[in-house]
Amino acid sequence: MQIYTPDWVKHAVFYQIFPDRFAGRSHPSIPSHVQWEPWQAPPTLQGYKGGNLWGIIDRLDYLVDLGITALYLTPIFQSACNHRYHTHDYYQVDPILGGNEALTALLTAAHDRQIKVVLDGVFNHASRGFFFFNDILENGPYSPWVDWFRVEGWPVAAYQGNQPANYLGWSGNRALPQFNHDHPDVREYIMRIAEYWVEQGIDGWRLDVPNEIKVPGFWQEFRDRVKAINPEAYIVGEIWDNAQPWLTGDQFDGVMNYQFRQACIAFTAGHRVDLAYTTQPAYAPSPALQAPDYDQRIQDLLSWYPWDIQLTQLNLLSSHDTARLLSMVHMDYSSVELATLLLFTFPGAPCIYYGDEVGLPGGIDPDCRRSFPDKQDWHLELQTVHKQLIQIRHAHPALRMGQYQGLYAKDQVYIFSRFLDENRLIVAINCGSDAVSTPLDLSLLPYPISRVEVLYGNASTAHSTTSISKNLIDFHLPARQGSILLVSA
Amino acid sequence: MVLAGLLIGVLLTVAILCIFLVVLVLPNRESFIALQQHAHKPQRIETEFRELNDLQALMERKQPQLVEVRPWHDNAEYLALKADIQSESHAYRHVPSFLRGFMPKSWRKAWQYSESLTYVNNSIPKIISNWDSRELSRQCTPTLLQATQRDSLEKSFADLLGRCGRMTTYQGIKYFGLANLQEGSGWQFVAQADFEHGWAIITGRVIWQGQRCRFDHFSISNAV
Repeated sequence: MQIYTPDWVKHAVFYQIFPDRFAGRSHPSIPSHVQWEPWQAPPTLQGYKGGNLWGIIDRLDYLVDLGITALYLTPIFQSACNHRYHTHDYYQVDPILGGNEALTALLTAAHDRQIKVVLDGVFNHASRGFFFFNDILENGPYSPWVDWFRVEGWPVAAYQGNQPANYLGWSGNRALPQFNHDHPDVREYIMRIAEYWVEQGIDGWRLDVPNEIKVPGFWQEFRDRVKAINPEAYIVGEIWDNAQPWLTGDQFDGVMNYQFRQACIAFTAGHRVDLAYTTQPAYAPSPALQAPDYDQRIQDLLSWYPWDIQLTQLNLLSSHDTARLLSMVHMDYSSVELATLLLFTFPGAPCIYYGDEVGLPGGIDPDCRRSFPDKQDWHLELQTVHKQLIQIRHAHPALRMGQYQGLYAKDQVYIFSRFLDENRLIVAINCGSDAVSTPLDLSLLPYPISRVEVLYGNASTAHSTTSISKNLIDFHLPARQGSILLVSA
Repeated sequence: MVLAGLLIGVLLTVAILCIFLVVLVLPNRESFIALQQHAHKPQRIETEFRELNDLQALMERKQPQLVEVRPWHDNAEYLALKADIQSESHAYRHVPSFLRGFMPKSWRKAWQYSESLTYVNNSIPKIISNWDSRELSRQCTPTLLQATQRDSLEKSFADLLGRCGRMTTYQGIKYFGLANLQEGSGWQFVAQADFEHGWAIITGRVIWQGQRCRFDHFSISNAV
C-alpha cells in the first residue's frame, strides 16, 4: 500500500495570514463607515482592524517576491469574532472580509501567481450565532436542530454565565457549541461544506482541533470526499502532540508540526526562551536542548510518520496560537535566524506566520495577532534572511525531498546533511556564544566531496584530501550562526 | 629446518601481498564512494526526479508514477545492487579480515560506515519481507536476543504478517546517523517499507561486535 500526499506541498513555502490583520483595501463589497481599531494600535480580544481579502490580493506580489507558494488563511467565514473561529455561516465569507466575491477574486489572483490557497475549517464546533444553534435558543426543545448539538438539558443558556449552559461547548466555552458528529445529517452537512469550497477552487483544508471529533471514520470519509474532487487537495490537522493516529495515510496529509517547533526553538534559543510566553507548558520549547538532544528529538520525530507524510508536514515557528518567536526569545534576532535556518532545511513544508519575516513582535494571544507593520518598521535584515533561505530551498530539491543524515552533534554545534541524487547539502549550525572550529570526518558522508560552496552564512571550511587519514573538513562557524553548504563531487 | 624456512617464506609472501593490497587498493575512495551511493538508492523504480526551473511546472507536477511493484527479491535493480555490493570491486573486501583490526582509525570508521549502511539496507528486507523472526534472531546481538522472548517475537511477527501482509516495496533508509555522534557507539536508522495492506516504519540501531555488524535495537515503530 502506497501513501499518497500532494506533491505540490513538498515543494511549497506557506504563509499563514490572519485576514483581519494582514492588509486592507476599501472596496464596494465591504461596508463603508465602519469604525475599525487603529491599524497599528495593540490588538484587543474583540476589536477589528479592517484587514480583508482585497488587501491580501494587493499584497500577493509582495508574497511572490518573498518566494511564497501557498497561503494558509485562518478562518474567513462569517463570524462574530475577529479570529472567526466562531462560525455563523459556512457558506458565506465574512462580508467585512469582502464576502464570497473577494474569495473568488483572491483564488483567481493567487492561482495566476501559482500560489495555492488553504482555508481553515472549524468543524468541531460552530458559534452560538450559527443559525441552527440560534434556532435552538429561540425554540428550545421544539427546534428541529436539537440533535445537531450536544444539548444536555433545558433551558439552554448561551449567554447567561451564571446559569448552567446545558450544552457542550468546546473547552467548556459556551460561545462554541459542539456539533453532534454522530448525527448523520451533521456529518453530511460538514462533508458538503468541505466539498463545496474545494469545488470553488480552494487547494486544501487546515482543520481546527480535529482530534476532538472522535466519531470513527469521520476523517477518513472527509479525506475520501475531498480527494475525490481534487486528489491534490492538502489536508492538514491542528494536532500538537504525536499525531500518529491521524497520519496513517487515510486521514490527513500532515499536521501543524508543533513538535518540530518545540525542539527547534529549545535548541536554537536555549535559555533565551521567555517562559512567560509558554502558555501551554506541555508544548513549551523548554528546557533548552543541546545538539545531541536535538538530534535525538529529530530522529524520534522522523520515525513517527511515513516519509511521504514527513515531506508534507506543516512546519512552523509561530502561529496565531503562540507568542511570536521574536518576542519569545526576548528580541534575540540570532535565535530567530538560527531557528529559521533549521525550519527551511527540515523535511516538510515551512510556514511563515505573517509578519515574522519582517520582525513583527507579539506576545500571547491577542498580542501575536498584531497588524502587519508599515514598511518603515520592517527589519530588513531578517527579511533578507527569509528571502535567501526560501530561494535556497526552492533551488535545491534535497532540502525538500532529500534524505536526512546527522553528521555531528556536540554541545551547541549540529551538522547534518540533506541529499537527493546529485544534490547534496551540509547544514552546520552553531548555537553557542563562541566561534568554533569543528573537524568533520568525510568518511561519514554518504557521497564524495571535492568542493564545498557556501550558499548561506559565514562558515568557512578547509579540507585536505592528500590522504585518507587526513580526510577531514574543518568547519569554522562564527558564534550564533549557521550555514548551508553545497557539496560538489 | 627447510620446511620451517619454507613456511616462513610463504607467510612473509602472504603478508607482503596483503600490505600491497591495503596500500594500493584501499585509498581508492572512488569505488568506495560509488558503493555508498548505490547503498542509498531506494530499492524501487521511480521515474527520475528532475529539478524544475519553472515554478508553474513545479507546482503542477504530479507524483512520480511507481512502476509495478514486485517482491524485493525479484527486483532486478535490487539484485544488481546486491551483486554490486558483494562484488569484488568493493575495495574493503580485499582487506583480509585479520588485518582490519590494524587499519588506521579513519579507514576503519569509513569501512564501518559503509558496511553498516549496506548491512541495514540488506538485512531489513530479509527480515520483514515475510516477517521472518528467525532471520531477526540471526541478525541481532546476543544481548538483544537474550532480552527478546522468542514466543512473543514470533507472535508479534505473525500479527504483523496478518495485518500488513508481505512486503511490496522497500523504501530504504530515511534517516541515518551515529547513535552517539561523538563516541561512535553504533548507527541509528529510520527506514520505511510498504506492504500489501499497509506500511511500516522500522527504527533501530546497529553496532559492531568485533568484525560483525548486528542489530542491538530493532523495532517496528508504526505499522498500519
